[in-house]
Amino acid sequence: MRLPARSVWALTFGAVLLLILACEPSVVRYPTAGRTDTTGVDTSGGVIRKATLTVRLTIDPRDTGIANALGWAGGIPAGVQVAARRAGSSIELTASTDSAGIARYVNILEGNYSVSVVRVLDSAENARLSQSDRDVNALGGALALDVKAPGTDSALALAAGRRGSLVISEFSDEIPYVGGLGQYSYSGFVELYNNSDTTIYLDGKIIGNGQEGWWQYPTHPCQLISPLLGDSIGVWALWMYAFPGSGREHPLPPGGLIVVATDAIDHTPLFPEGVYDLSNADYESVGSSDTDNPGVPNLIWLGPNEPNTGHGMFYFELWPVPFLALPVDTASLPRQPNVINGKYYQRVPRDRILDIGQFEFDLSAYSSSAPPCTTNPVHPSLDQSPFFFRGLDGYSEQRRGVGRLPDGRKILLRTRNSARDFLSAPGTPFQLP
Amino acid sequence: MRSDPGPVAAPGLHTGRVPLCILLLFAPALLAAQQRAPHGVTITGRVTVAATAEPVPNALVALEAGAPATRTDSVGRYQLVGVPPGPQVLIVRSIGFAPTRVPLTVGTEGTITRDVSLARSALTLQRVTVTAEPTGRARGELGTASVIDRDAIANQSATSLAGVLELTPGVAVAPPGLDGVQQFSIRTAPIPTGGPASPLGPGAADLASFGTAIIMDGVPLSNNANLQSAGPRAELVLPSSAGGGIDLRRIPASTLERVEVIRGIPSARWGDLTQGAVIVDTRAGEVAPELVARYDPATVEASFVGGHAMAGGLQALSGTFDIARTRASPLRDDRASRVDAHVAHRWSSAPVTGAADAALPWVLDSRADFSQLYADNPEEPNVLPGYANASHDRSLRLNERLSGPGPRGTHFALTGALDVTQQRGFTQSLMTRGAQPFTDRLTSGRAIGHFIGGQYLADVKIDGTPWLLYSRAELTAAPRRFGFDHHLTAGGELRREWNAGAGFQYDVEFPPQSFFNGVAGFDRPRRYDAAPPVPTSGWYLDDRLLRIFPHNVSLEVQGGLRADVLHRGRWWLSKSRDAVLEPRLTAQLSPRPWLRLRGGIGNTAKLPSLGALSPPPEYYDVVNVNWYTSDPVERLAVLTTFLRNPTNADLGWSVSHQREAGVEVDVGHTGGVISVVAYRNTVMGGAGFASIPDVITREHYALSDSTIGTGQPPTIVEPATSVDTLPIIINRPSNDLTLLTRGVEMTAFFPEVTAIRTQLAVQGSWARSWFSVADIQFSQSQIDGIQLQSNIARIPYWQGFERFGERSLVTWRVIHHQPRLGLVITAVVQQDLKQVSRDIGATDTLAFVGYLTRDGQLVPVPPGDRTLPQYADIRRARVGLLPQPAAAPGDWLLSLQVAKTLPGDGRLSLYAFNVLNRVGQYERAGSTARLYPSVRFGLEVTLPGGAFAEMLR
Repeated sequence: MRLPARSVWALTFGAVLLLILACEPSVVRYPTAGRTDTTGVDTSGGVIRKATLTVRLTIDPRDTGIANALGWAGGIPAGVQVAARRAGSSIELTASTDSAGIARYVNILEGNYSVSVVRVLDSAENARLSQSDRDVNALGGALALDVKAPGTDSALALAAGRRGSLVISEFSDEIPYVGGLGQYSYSGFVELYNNSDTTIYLDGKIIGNGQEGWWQYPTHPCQLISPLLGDSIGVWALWMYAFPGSGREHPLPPGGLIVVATDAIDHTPLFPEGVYDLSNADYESVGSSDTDNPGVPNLIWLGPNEPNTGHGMFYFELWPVPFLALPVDTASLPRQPNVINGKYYQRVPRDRILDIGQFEFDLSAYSSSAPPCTTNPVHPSLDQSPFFFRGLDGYSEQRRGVGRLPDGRKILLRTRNSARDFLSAPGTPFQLP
Repeated sequence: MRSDPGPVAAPGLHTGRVPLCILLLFAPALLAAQQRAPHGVTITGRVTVAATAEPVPNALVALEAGAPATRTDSVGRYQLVGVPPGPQVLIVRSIGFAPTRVPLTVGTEGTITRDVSLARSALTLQRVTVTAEPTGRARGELGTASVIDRDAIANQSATSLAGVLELTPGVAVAPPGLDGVQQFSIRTAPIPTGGPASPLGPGAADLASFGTAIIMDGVPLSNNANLQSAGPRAELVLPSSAGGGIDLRRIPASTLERVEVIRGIPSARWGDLTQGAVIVDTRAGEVAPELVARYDPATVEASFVGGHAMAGGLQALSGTFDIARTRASPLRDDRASRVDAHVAHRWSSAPVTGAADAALPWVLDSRADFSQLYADNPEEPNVLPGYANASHDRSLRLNERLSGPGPRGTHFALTGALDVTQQRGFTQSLMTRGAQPFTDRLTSGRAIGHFIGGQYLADVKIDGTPWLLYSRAELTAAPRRFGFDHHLTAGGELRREWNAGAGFQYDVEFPPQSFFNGVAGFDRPRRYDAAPPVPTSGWYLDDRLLRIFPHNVSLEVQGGLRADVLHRGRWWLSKSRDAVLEPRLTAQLSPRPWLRLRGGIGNTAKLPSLGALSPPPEYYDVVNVNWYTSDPVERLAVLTTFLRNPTNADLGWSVSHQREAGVEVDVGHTGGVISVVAYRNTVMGGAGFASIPDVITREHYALSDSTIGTGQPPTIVEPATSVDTLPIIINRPSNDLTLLTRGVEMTAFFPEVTAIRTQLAVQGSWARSWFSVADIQFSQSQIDGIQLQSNIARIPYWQGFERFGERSLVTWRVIHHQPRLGLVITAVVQQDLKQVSRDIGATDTLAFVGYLTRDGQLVPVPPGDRTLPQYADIRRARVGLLPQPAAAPGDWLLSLQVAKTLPGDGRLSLYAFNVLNRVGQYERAGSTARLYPSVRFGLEVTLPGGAFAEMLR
């Protein structure tokens, strides 16, 4: 007895179709409803929506005296340029405040924006301030907000920016990359400047790096590291180095600057572009596998982690958070793990922080499909908004100057708003541009 | 010469040193070989010329599966007696005509009459096969197989064996060419295994301890002694097939006569495999001369095949020659070329007569194969300056096989082969490193080093010469006992593999790795001939039984036992280092001639690569003094080098446990067949790298003078001021990998719709693989941490992980055939239905199972204690696993093939791969990419000998 051929073929066809249906791909998606990428292309299949953003500038109540001294009617900052940048984009939108202190952006894409302002005071304006406010050289502020259609209104209070003391005047964490020639990770440096009128002793002072940013990956969500981000009590340090000395062995006069190198050597023979001769650096950090220049004093590693390059001080290039701090007893600092990278962090109290910057690399060229956990790794009370840099070979992040004192010393801008305080330019270690 | 289907598995006995066990294995066969009687069906018929109906005398008529064979008489008549039941293929050959294949289902008794027409071109025959045979069986094998014959190979437009294997279920189609290493593994889902050579690691097909055996002309090809790998710590990835299966580019499709892909459980004859075997016969014997030329924008190929009978048919000399060249991309200068030549000679003591009582003749087959495969990827200064690599392989294989009648009605065969490949290549890459202390010391101990840094060209020369010495002695008998027809085979194999190359050579100061954390040192150059040879032996006994019951019911059983021995010394007489017994059993019940139920269970074993058996030493360079002044003459670097030997004396065979069950149904006389097979294949003990903790010490020294500007370097003051310990992790080859694959394969050949002369063939494959690593694992960043930071007292370790992959693929082939026009059009639709991969393993902070101390000790932590406060510092999330499924979207592509006869019995083929130029889909949120190669048009012209000679005139 034979099987009826037609029945067999019908069954076979059915089986094949069932196999196809059973194996239809089940695509896993991120929860990205309405999310758009940096190019404004909606990746969720939704509709691109435009919105209006209105920003009303006010003055921090603690600084109304400054506004009054400047003669701003009703304390309203009119004619001030306000910059807005959409998260992940390098395009900066600008608008000026009207007489009511309102800046308006129309027909912009929905999304997360950082808004920042700096209003530098000229010498005439500075002269009008009271004696206690004479170290104020600018007013600035920033905020991050989610802009929704049809419109979002927000308010931003400007606070006084003061000179501070020891500040980061230049910072290079760029990893030079020359197409096809690889990349070079060892010529980083931090330049420090005495922005005050008194001698600063570097002995025991700390240079470090805070917790970097992270992306919202389904397997490693932001909640895992959220305790380490934006902490109002202080900065969670990934690594710290201390200047040698314990008293007054390493003075830095007003207007003086020093360069702290990752490797204090001449890097220019080692890589074709984007590196510097740092053999005359004032200090260097030494790891377990790099060269140790005995002519350059070494920083003292304090923990809690040594950068994995084995060359000492190394800033992760995507979200560096360099900071300067007064000496602390690291044994007494609270510790907390980052369960994603398996490292422990120590928190430096905010009252020990002398200066801090936060930087965000332009990720628009990357095809990361996960959104960043935050654009502000640092609490706004320490720094209000990150500087957005492009990662150009040979460029560094440099603090803006706001003028000179009568003795010719340069004064650098410090509004605790990295987005406004810094700019990118060809690196100039050992000198202020 | 295997063109003429002579006696299959012809018996033989190695004449050298014969261990006692082989004699014991042979004993049953010898004892059983007393009663031989043909049992089965008789097939008779007449062979004529299709166009004229004239008889074809002296045509060879045989069963494709082996004996019996005969020749037609002067009026074209033939008679085959003793044809076993089941699906059989009758093959008829005569010089000047295309081989004709006649599939038929044979019952248990009676006589079948089949007249056969021959034509000069296969395209003009009434039946032409351009797919794998739907009911094909490998000769002498009962396990599930795909058999691809010459007609299908010719229609496939393949440049190498890899293209031919696309006709088996579960293999994706690809454009013809020589670009990229081509490896093959049966029945696995494509998942990265996290093994050596790259961060993601190779796929299961690429690991030497998992793999499909490739048997060419009765002798296995081996990649076990290919050492062209930079090792687990290198940053350069070499374009090589080392560590996995052989590179199939070495085997031109144009020289293939027949390919048998044993997807199920192979008989005990075959060893050194975990996932089936591919039996390849090259074209030889009396072959009509044929010239084939192919062109497409990427690949140019020409091949010539011809064989001539001499001495009244008692001898035949044949040769094949193939030359091919592929340029992978019009935008790059990367190119690959191949020259391949085979010469075969057969001497036979008597011709095939067809007489039932005729003794089988003595046959001596001699072969010499030469193959040259060059892959050059030259530097393109404007795109990637400094990057270049080349691989120049030249291989020579000599193969002798003598078969003939043995004592007491047995048959024997002796096979000996010597295979040597000269592998010359280089790879260079521009690398960048920071300034750092360095030592070029090659032995353990402390040395004055120097400072290096910056950009350099890592230029690695690879000089390998793998050898394979192979011999097989085999004895077969066909007795009838207890109502069963037996086909007994007993034999032994001896293999010896080694590499005589100068090795992996480079300037020590410019190694193919730039990362150095001050503890984990650079690898050093390695001579391949320092690795001792690997001798193995295999002994087997196999019996295939057939019993015919009343009412057309038949039962076939193939059972065997194989013992594989890895020897400790340099030759086969040395003691066993590892031995494995492999029982294998396949049974097929045919309740009706059109229905076959088949099941199998058995073990196979695979040898690890020579590189895993004899790994090079690992180097660790610890910096003791680091004094880098601005004046170079004052600098001082002192480093201590530690060597660790990662050799694992216990490393042995990986063992595959295989099961399969299937059903095969012929439907009426329409030529339709449906076959469904489910399988489960567990490979255990694959060779991976285990993480073995160890400890080294670092001495700290004071300097005699730390003044700068003296014009001379300082010296160290002995003894050391302090010594601390540093944990290290040695990568030791270990049988720690497991690959479990389950799946279903479906093949459906629908009958031809005669009105439109079109047939549909569908092949489907669904496979799920689980790849697991049994050994403990560390986080590399944490290893760096504990080596760099003295304040880290311990780091956690985790248990191995499991990686899951799933793939389902359906290939539709629509075949339109017009015999009168000599036209065949084949449309192939590959439908990728599902492809998913993900990691399975705990990633939370309590997933750790213990910790590593600074002195290299592993301390397990009981699960209940992992929440205790004293383990807070090692409660860290495990990174590197991706438990979220990564799915590639479903998609499809269409390829076309048109073949048409030309005047003078030539043939013209046009092919269009991915004719609609479907790109697939790029990676996007939540799904991985599925990208298809772009459209490729090409043509192929076949000129038979007559036309070729005409053209030359």
